[in-house]
Amino acid sequence: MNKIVNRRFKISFLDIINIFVIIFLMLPIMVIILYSFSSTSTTVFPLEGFTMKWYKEVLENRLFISALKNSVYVGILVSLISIIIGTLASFALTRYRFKFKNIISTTVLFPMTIPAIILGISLLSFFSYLEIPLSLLTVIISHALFCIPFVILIMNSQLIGFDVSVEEAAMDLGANAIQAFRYVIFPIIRPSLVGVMMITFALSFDEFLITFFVIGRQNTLPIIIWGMLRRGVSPTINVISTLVLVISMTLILIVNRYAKIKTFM
Amino acid sequence: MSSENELLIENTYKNFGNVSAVKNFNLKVEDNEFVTLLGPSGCGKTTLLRIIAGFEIPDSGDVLLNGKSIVNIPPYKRPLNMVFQRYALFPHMTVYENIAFSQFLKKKPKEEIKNKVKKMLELVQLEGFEKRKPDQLSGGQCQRVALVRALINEPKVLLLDEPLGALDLKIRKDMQIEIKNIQERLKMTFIYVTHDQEEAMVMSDRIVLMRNGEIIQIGKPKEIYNYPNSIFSAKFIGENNILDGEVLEIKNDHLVIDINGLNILTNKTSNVKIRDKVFLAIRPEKIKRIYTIENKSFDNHIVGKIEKIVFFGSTIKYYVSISEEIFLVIEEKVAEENNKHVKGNNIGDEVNLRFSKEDVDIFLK
Repeated sequence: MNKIVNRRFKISFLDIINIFVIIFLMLPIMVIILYSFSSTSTTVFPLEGFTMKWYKEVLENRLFISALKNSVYVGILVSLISIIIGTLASFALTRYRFKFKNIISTTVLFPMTIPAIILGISLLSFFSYLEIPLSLLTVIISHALFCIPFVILIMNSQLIGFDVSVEEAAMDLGANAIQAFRYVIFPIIRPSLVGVMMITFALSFDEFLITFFVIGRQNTLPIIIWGMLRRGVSPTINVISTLVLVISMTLILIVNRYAKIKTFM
Repeated sequence: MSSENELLIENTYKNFGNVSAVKNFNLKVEDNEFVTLLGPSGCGKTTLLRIIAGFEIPDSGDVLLNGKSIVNIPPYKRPLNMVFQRYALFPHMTVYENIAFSQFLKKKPKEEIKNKVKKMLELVQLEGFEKRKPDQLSGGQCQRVALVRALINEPKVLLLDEPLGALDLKIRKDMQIEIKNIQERLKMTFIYVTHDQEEAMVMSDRIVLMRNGEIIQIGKPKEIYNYPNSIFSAKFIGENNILDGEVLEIKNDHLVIDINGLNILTNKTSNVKIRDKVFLAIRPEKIKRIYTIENKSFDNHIVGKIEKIVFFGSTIKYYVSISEEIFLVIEEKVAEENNKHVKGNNIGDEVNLRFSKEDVDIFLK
């Protein structure tokens, strides 16, 4: 960082390209945020006035509030379930030798590579075959299914670099397996766990395609937005999108601040 | 007579798949002894140490501490501690927390832990480093912390797995002396693993020389150096000139060995016959360049040509060619090198080499 500060400021061709790319990526998002404050109900340019009424309307909308609650509820559970299963799987894959290890280590990553629409369809037929009624539970199961591979990937990169002798040193100094995990392994991998938690939460929070197939009566936020969109673009959608954006950005900021994931894929 | 803290390893075997890492290993380590397991990488020395520590379970055999088997006791319950190759300090803990860890697990009172850690830091001259994290320490400091982290637990036996391997030469030499001093001061049993024969010589009371999971030779450093029992010992411990020859004659008090036409006299050994293929080993410092031929105490007289001279500070080495195939290394103290009688101090000079038949070790092929 110091080097950059010390260098004389000079705009190069590459910098200009960079700025255009950033504008190109950010513009649609900025438009949404901007129009969430627009006083007219149609998206017209230029903006006609500033208002917070759409925010008020959204926050008073019971449908929206319950969907937000559902999304947070699903997100937290998905994140917990996939962290526990994924981390344990990663421990097994990085620490132990067993039969068919290579095959298993690639198959556990499959859900990530299968197109979401196919995953959605197969999950739907799977649940109806087992006669499991569609509900938030099926959404949680489905989300955990595609979140676990992300957890495994991230934790693998952490655990492969983990010096086993540190764990052995703990045991040598009198720590049993639980104490070694509690005092040595867990504190070392904690930043990764926090990061993985945020990422899985974010993945689940804005998942639409798979959710659409396996959702029951209770809606999640992306489903609500989609439903609203079918009736035309209303400013409340801009508001909801802005809120989702703020939540996601906050999570990313927290991850960057506290988790410091060095190797993410 | 079983003394206190006696460690006994009996008929121990350990295989990894098809590779046998430790074969029929028998060793008795006495109380307060500094024993070094020495050998090239892959000789099973680390595996053996890990068996003693409890991280590997032997396929067969037993490890006994004071007469009691410890093979079925998990590592965290064994009264032994280990210093790891790459320190293995806990990166998220301070120096203080690292050292105090075992005492904390034993639920010792805080005041007692504090005093003990203080004593330990004094032992390795790291007072004032309590609050540092391992990544703020140099390699030598890390190793000192790792050492006292194990010592604070007052182990019956301290196991050290190439603890100095990651340090540079200067610090390594200092640490060798420091570790040896600590061992003598605390009167503890140390089992030390290294592949560095010099390190083994400096520190050990006894060296266990290993190859392919088996013991080749056990003895005091001096014994192994002066009386290697095999060509492997002769090559591995110290420097040696190894010559490849055949028994030509067996005389009353000596043997004549033919090395590509060069005849060398050696002490008589009972187990050789004429035409046996043998290796000869001669230490570089046993070969003298002496001008005066009157000195009859040397049985072997050879003429060679200096090919290379390397200055090491206190010693100097001459690389001498005897013939197309035979080369010898000669080591001299620099003080000797200034001897005016010696003819030939330059590359290309002819030199007269002398050594007695007692200084030639002979091994059957």
